[in-house]
Amino acid sequence: MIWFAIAAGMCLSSAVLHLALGIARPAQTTHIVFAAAMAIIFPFQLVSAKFHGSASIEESIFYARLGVALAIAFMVVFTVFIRRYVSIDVPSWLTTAYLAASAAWLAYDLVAPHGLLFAAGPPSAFTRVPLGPLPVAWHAFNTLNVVWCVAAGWRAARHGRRSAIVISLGAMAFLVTVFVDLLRDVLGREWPFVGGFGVMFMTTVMSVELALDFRDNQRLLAKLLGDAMRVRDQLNTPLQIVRFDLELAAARGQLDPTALSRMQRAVDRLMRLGRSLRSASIEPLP
Amino acid sequence: VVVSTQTANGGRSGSSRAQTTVLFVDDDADLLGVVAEAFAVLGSARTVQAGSLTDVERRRDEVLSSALAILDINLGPNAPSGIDVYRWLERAHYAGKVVFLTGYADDDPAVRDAATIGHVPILRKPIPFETLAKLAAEIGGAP
Repeated sequence: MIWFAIAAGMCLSSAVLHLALGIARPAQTTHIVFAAAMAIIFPFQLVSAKFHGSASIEESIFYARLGVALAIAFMVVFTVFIRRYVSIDVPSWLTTAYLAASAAWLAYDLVAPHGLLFAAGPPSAFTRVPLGPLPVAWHAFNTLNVVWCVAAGWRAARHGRRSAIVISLGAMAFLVTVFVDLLRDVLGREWPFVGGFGVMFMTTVMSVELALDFRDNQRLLAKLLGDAMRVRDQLNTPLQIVRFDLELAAARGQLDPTALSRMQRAVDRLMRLGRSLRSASIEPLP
Repeated sequence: VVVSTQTANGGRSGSSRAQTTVLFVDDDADLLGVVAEAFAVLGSARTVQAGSLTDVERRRDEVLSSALAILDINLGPNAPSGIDVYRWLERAHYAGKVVFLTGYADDDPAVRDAATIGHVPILRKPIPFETLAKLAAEIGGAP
């Protein structure tokens, strides 16, 4: 049980960390979505611990139902995260079908007398899942879901997104544990569900990668900001020259008044443009 | 580096000691030229132009006889700044009015340093022609 508690702690700390990274200005949705996925998987780990420590059939069904609901929510949010992270286009019919299937799994889990995991009947021994088409189909659905995540990450990596390799490898590790869970139910074994640990491993890998991404983005942002400020500051001396030269040309009657006023307006616009670039609220990294 | 003196009529001189001389220090040669022309149009007698602290030191007598010093704060990378020119003027007991000029924002380190010299105003580029006219009038250089 201690391992479930450790995994829960890691997921919670990861959720807090990525929420903090995500809501810092400018807000980064990818981090916020990842934090949401971690916030969902945190109670899942605790529920898994309670499930494996169930003292009655009723308790076992209750925690299985809760765990499945959290797992469905996690898979949806995690898939959204992968989609955002790798910026992949998904046909709207596929998105709709995926969400509808997930909603159907969730509805079944909440409504069915024994939940989704025990759809084929109540457990014979608290945590042994009777083999049935629905639980197997759900595990297969999850497996396909994670296969898609791995493939999406791999595709992004092949298109030059180095960090997507790490995300893909993390999802692959998760895939192995999801497959082990599928095997557990197919073989009717009682070993612990390990999908949660797969998530934990993936969390660690992705947290490191996202934190590195965040740092790189901060550096890039600070550099761009510095460049913009430099352009703004260095624009002022040429503008000063143009402004005085225009005034001098006007004083000497060398310029048509309409052209002069047009050029003065252009200079004023350039000045306003420069002044609109305010110094940043972002501290450059050392 | 541009070092020259321009008189109100556009001629050049190195020895005149008119009351209404303006020292203008900037590392941009074009700006030095256009400001000198502007002061000439405004009726200021002479403009002493300098691109660096070295130029200022070299023309010590002309510089110290000026009634107004307009000092660009940033005089190029790794070069003494307008603040260094100001310190030099202070040590030389400069009697004229001093004004800083800058195109940089308040968060620039040199601009921050200049702001600590409370009695010296800081003008922001690009300044309007009227500001030059006002400065010229203050030192009695306007017609």
